Amino acid sequence: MRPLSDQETKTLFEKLSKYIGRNLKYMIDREDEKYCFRLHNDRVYYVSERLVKAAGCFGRKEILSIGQCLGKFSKSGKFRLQITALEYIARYAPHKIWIKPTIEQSFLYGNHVMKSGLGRITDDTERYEGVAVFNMADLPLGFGITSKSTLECRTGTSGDIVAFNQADVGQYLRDEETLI
Amino acid sequence: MMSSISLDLGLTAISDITPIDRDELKANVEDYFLAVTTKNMQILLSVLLKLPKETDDTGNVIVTLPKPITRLPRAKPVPVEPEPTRWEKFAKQKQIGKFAKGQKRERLVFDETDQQWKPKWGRNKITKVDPQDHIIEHQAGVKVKPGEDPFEARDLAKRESKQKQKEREEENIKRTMKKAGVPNRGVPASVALPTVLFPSAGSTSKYQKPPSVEASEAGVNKMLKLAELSTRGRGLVDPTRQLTKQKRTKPGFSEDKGKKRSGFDDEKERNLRIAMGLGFKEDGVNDSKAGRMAHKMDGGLDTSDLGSLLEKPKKKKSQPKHTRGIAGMNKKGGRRGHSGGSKSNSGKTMKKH
Repeated sequence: MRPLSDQETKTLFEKLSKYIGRNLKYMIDREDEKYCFRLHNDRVYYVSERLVKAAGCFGRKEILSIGQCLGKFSKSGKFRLQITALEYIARYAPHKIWIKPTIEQSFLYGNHVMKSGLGRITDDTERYEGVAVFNMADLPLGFGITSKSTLECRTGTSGDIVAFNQADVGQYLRDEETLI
Repeated sequence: MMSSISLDLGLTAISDITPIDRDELKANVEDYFLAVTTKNMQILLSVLLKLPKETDDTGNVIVTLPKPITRLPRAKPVPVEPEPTRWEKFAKQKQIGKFAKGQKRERLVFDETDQQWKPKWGRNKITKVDPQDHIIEHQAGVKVKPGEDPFEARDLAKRESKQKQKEREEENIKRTMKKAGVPNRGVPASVALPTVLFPSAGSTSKYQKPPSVEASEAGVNKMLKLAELSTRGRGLVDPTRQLTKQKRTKPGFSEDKGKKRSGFDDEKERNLRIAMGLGFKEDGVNDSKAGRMAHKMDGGLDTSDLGSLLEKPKKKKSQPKHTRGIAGMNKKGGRRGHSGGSKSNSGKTMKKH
């Protein structure tokens, strides 16, 4: 477990800011407790400093996971956000999508969001914007990338894809083995 | 001129060592060589036809060639004296069988059944028939497993001993090949190489023996280094093709070597600095928003003070609470009303401060 290098931090922040934008600074600089990012076995964890200090007692092989796993770095240095980061994305995302109950299950199975299932969308969402996906009861279901801006969503046929599924809560069942 | 031509009829070869006439050669290379070759060929053929001839049944003329004069160099290296096998060493020491002094292996053995002398091995050899083949006597002291077929056991034992013998023979071949310096490349010794590739140790040849391949990391690295050398210029001309110096391209922690890293506060500052260094989309003007706001205004847009129009009044909004649990669940009220379209202000954004 080690802190991230400058390049790695930059890659991570670029990815995160796609979904949470400027609110990234609330993750870095928190009021209640100090949190930091740690790298362990190619995965990035968002941990409180108190926990990091406690984890210093353990060796590398003995630690499985710590804090919140945000995602993992690939072998070529690219960062991939995982569903385990949903808590923070849902909390801080400026752009959101609410989907209807009809399409909710489909989304949880990994499918993309169709226009027919789109309940609400934040104003002024651009195209290919990172969004957090909620159901109509304001429960976060996952996150994705819009394929249309808000204006474009109003027009267009109901069969069109409105948002691409990047991660959904159903992955906790589907990709159980790879998530830690 | 004739003295410079020598014939080796055994190899049907003629060698002409007359010096080349440079002027004639320069005039026309093809013609010169053609003239020389035709002349020599005529000489060779005329001498060949003077040899004793025979005629074949089908009318072919056969000429008996004499023995070749030229001594050709060895095509293959000197055969290696095979090292005596373990058995041979033992038998020699103990003077067993054919190794016994004064012993001579007799080819012919008297066959009782046929009342004849027959060779011990080879064609028409005597066949050894065991009269007790259909019976296996019980030997006192030898334990027999219940349900075991003694005939099958005998056959199995015979097969196993044959297998063991084959293995021993392979070992012998391997030992000889090792002595000859043949590289062990994992080819089974029974499929021995027809020629020894490199001369055996002790010869004054400039060729080096190849290293034996070890199935280990060190062995593989050895071969890798060899492969690197096997370019033009023996690895020196193309230094960029160094195979062993490839590095992993993933940027890692070692890049930050030398940079001061101390404590958590320092880290927070560093993170903030990096975060601010990224360009955010919200920095620019959101055109659609500006357009919408202009529409909303009564009496159109007052362009005199665009700055104040674009900036929303600063709200003192506290940070979202860092409460445990999933965001959204803590909000008051249950289901929010279905607003038909996508116009909604429930997605409250954190405006730029």
